[in-house]
Amino acid sequence: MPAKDDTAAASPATKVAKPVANPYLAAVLAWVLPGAGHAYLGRSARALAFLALVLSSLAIGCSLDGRLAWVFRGPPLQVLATFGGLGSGAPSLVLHMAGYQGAVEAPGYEYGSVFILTAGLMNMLLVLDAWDIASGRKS
Amino acid sequence: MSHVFLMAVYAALVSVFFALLWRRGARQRGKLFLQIFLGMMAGGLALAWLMFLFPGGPPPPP
Repeated sequence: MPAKDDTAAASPATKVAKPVANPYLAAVLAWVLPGAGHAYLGRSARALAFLALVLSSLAIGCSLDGRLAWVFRGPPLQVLATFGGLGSGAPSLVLHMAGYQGAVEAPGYEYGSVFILTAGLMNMLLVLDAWDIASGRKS
Repeated sequence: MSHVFLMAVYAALVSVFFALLWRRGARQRGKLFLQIFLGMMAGGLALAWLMFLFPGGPPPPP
């Protein structure tokens, strides 16, 4: 009969989270395609929901001709907006490669820019969530 | 294009996202959705009225 596991008596502060999957892979997948990290972790329904939410935000932003920032050297806020937009991973890269920039003269430009930026920021949170689940910190 | 409608769409998207991310169970998710959605809508309208006190911007063209 195996000995009783001493960790069962350990205080919560000393318990170490046990990884359930590769957190690096989960995070990369989550960034590349919104929801893919959660799909890798077996949360298919949530993966589809998050994919729909992030893509919806991106699509609404593009329909309003919002800006997809692509400035890596220049005004700090524009650089931040660039990295924020890149947070949605492959969809934003595809948009950029397709030549999408937005139209500053469009009436919905500012709103669309916010939707596009929010899509990226939401996906960044999904990356962190996937990491936490994969590393066992979150169920 | 209605600005209020766009604000509502944005608030709904963000509220659903955080409800799914931070809560488990339909009841808890619904509760958080309403809290965030109503908070964003009320906050946005409150800020809009607050800005009404400070008229600014360029003068209208002749």
